[in-house]
Amino acid sequence: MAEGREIEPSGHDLLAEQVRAWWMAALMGDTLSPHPVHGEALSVSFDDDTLVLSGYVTTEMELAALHDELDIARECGISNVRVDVEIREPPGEQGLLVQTLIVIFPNEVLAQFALAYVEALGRIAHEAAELILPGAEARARIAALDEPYASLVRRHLDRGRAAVLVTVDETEAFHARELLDEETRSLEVVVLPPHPRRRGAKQTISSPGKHDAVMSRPARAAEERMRA
Amino acid sequence: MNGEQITSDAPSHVVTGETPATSSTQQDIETTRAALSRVQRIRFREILAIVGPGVITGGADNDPAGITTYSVVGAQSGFAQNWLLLLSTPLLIVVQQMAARIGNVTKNDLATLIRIRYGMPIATLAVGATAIANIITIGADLVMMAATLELVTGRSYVEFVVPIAAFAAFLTIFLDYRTTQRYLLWLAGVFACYIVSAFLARPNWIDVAKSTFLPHLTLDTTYLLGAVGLLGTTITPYLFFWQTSGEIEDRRGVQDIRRSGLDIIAGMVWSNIVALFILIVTGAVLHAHGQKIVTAADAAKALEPFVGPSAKYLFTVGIVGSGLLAVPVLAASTAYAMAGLLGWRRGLARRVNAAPAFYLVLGLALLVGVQLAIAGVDPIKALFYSQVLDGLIAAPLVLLLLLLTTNRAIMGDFVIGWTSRIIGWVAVAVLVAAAIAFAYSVATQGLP
Repeated sequence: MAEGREIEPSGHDLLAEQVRAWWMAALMGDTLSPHPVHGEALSVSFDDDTLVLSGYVTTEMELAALHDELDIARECGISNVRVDVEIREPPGEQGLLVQTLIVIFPNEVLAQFALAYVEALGRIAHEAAELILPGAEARARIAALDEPYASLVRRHLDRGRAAVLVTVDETEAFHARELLDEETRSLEVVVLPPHPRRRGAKQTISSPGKHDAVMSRPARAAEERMRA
Repeated sequence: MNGEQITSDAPSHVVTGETPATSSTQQDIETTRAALSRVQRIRFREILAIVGPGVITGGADNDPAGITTYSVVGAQSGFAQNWLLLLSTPLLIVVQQMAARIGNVTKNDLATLIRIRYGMPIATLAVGATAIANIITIGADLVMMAATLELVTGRSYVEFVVPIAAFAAFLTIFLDYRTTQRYLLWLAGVFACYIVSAFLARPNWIDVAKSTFLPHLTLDTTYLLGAVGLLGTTITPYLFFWQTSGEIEDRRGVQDIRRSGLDIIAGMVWSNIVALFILIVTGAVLHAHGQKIVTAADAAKALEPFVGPSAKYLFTVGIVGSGLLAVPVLAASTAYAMAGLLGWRRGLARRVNAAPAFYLVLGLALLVGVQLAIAGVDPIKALFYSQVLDGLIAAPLVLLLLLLTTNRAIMGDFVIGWTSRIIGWVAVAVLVAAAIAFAYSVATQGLP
């Protein structure tokens, strides 16, 4: 799933740390937390003294990376490992609709952190991400939103809060919402209604040149199919 | 309901903030419409695997309060109100489909959308009224479950209230309730026995058919109280909140709208078939002999034509099973509604420390329900009147659902179609008419 995303070197390091932490937690019995890269598509359990890794990934490369991750378990003395992971497309066909999430934060620092989380870690296959801070510039951006969402954002900004708008494929919206809700210090996540993807469009709402769109692999494949 | 997505006049740019020059073109809309139609198609082999929040909601609809209300109405009025169930079936299906669609399309829960669109005061009223009705129903459901256990063990029902509530809390908070409820649904399947029992009770089927297909209205308080209770237990407010949240937790998106629709049809039709046969059997067994339902034992009598003296055991299994299905749903939908209203983190898939306020409300709803249950209320009356309260608050909530699902700013290109709108307005009209007639009747004649 991480394939095809632009991840900065620091993002790679942070992700590797998160993956390691996830494995350590799983080996200590916390098998319910979602995998940092594959989320709930992957689960780990124990069958007597055998560690069982099950679920699905979407590419051969991801499966190979997963086999590399198992070294962490081996370092901890787990020698019996069974990998029941298949390669398949994620549920739902991507590339048809896009949906924007409004994420409200108590202040700019937390919003900046969340934006970095979205852009660097690559756990959310987003197509655009944008920060809206209180101030004159925000007014024009908010005016482009439809009611009642414009009022919602305006109300929060008036209280000194900050908002991040993240646009994702509609099939990724639940996952994105969950991560933004759970793993950032957001006050609230509200989702705008989906709309048909613009064919040939690279990004939906980001400020040009500020945050380049990162399109998920299935979304890009769908684009190419449409163009063909 | 299904062929109405992506309308060609869709102003997609308005919602997303895109400028018209860069918005989705007509060709984009057409291409997406065709692709969505393809991915939404349901294959035959998928049909059995489609069970989801809709079937669970249908099971929860026939909770102890529902079973008791149907039994009381059947014993009071015979077959006279059968037609209301026939009328309420399409209304219930469309209303639940509207609630599901909100989850599929917006990924926001109902209370959040009411707050964002109509403001905090209206959202507080809607959530507050639902929470009160839910807590009373939790108390009444607990009393009824405990009363059936008293029936088979001979011990006081009060002894069972706390253990049942604790077990329901354990199921909801510490287990994966969305998985557990699929098993509990089988316990509630016991109510299929009412269908067999109805045939064995040998009612006059011509009378049954007449009263089912020909509307018959009487303007007396008992009849209208029964009508409001019947509508309230069928089109129940907490199910709207549960359905929307269920779709979100099951991660059913736009591509699953048809699957959700089929799931809901299956759940609601089954729920109302069972309800209809409860009316028929209680009408044939109790009303025909002038018997009223005063205790749980009276309610269990309707199963006697099928299983004889074992009726009370079968009834107990059904009531406890359906109660264990419904009480967590009632408590959780109260918590979902409160969390949506106040913007808290929420979800049964989350651990307690990840959504503490959500679980606190869930626990409090159960605790207050327990308090009501052990306060010595008459279980049959408590159950029946809780459903009357549901019937009275259902009308404004269905109206809010209708306004939300027809609003382009909320639903984008996925607003409901004209058939659903018409049926939705009929639902509002029927619920309002029943509530007004009931209020007038109580004002002039008093409560029965």
